[in-house]
Amino acid sequence: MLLLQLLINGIASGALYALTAVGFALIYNGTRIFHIAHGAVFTFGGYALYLFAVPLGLPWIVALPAAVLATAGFGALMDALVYRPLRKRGTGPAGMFIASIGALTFAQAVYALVFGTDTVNLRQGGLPTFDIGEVTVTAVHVIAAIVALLVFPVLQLFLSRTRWGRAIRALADNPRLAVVRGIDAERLYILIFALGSALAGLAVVILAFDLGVRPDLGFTVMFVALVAVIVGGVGYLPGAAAGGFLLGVTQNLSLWQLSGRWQDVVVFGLLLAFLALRPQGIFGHMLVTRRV
Amino acid sequence: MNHTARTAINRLVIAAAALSAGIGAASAQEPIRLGLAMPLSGQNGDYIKRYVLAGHELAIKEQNEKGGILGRPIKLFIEDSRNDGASAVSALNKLINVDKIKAVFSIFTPVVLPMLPIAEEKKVMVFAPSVEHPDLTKSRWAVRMTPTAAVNGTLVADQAIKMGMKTAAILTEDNEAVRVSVKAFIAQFEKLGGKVVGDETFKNQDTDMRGQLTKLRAARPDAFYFNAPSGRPVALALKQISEVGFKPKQIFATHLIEDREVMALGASMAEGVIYTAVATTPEFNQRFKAAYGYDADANAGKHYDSTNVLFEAIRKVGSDADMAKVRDAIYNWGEYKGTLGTFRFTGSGESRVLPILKIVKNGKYVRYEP
Repeated sequence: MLLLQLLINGIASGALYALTAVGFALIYNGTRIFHIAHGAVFTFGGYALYLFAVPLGLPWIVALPAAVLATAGFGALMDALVYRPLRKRGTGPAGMFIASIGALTFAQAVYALVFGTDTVNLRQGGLPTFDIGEVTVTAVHVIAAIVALLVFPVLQLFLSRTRWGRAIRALADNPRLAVVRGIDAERLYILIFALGSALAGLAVVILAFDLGVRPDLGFTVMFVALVAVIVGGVGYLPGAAAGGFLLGVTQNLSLWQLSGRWQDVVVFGLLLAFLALRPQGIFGHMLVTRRV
Repeated sequence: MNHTARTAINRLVIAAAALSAGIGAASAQEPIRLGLAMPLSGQNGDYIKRYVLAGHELAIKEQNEKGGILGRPIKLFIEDSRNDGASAVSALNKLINVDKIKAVFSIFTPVVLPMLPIAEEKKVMVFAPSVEHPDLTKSRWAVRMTPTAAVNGTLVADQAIKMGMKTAAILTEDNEAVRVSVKAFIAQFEKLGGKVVGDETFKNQDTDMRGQLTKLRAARPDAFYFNAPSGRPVALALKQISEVGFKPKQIFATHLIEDREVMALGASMAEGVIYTAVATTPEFNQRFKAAYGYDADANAGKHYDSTNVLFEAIRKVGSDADMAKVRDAIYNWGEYKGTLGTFRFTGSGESRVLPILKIVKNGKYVRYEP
């Protein structure tokens, strides 16, 4: 029974990692920017939800989607303010990466100045739970899993069946050719950042509702999401999603026989194992034909 | 004006001039320079500012309002040590070499222990009032104002056995000082016939402990002992205990359950928890609340008292020029009456403050009386 409970906990954590990882992977695949500041965008979503739900007192049904939209907007704004000027100057991937680290550090410092370093809580008390035999599931865990299971097929449909989606895939596959074919890359970058950030927004509103928000919230989640992207196969979105779930489940199942202090060892051990034995990740072979 | 009157006026003028010169000399005196190096940013930053820094600043403000020490004002130089030893060492070096401090206040074992070799070499006193790690007072330049981690762990184990608990599970932050407390708890609990059926840890930045709590729930312990060095994990653990359906007969914790983060997440979750603390006087609590608008916690009292112990020692020695003399004055102070009640220094920086047990009852923190 313990094993089943840990598996369920793992699926719930994995859903949040998967949403964040897919958002990161979408941006990386589409723009080639190693957007580590995705963590800052993630945290922004938590504070946006707090502002909408607590000081403004909006009902959850309004505050939750508003926070996801605000996160999408903030991600697009970050592209406009940080990356676009660098793109115009022809900055390479290393420069973009350094700028991204700067943006993450800067944003974290601003969050700490504005909201303090204490965790900002969005609600009081424990979460509603459901008992199924000896297994206990929280409402938030159920919602996390449902959101992830609904969002990924919708995203896949968008990317494969719509004009914008196909344009994103074309840009990801061959940016120069896409531009020659008349695709407005700058407009697409806005869309890509907004979409990727909205996925982070979905994850963070669930997490913030459960555990509150603090300035470094995105930093921790971001690292696990990065590992998920590598484990799943860089460049392939379903791989990032699978990597997220795999990490969440592995992290939790490791508690069955190991102490909690070994969780990082398990996560990064998995990363090292993939880098050494299967550097292309679980679904790396799919990249021959597809990129997003 | 006759001669007597003129003489009297002259004397008054001279006296006034002398007095004003004296006052001028006192206020122009070189301040007593003290340093504070603590993690003011990061997860524990706001907690430290709210209680720990506040405790030091209250003591300094009160002393300066009384004219300082030996006619000299007290000046506090503040540095953010962050929560790592390397940054703490940099902060201390800056305080010593640039700000010329004579003593430093700090907190948290991983921050304080790396500072000690430098403090010893430069003959700067280190006040770590709330650090419970046993190694702290092996240094001849350190002072603490709290029971050691082992004393707290033993007290909890004794109480659990007294309440008829046969089995116990433990969840703690993976932190050296906290683990000292846990080792003492396990040793005492098992010595008295109990059995520890689960011992789990979480990392400083972790927010989700449901996995560990699920595992501990499966072990079905009578008692659950939770120990973390800041209020946030305490609040989260209490919330998640109810979410995973973990229902031990008794939960034990530390005084950090009084942190307002616990109340912010829901006071009812803490109801009935028994925890270790040190007693602070009601008079101090009133002054603290008047100054800051919220209640003090035990750490505020410890850090406040440590500041005053230093002031008293400088006054007793008559100077801060030779800190070895100030240190010896503290180490050999004997009985000291402060905010923490009466405690004793008997040849070292160990202040022999005794812990008490408290309980959360009807949302209030009261002394536990079985």
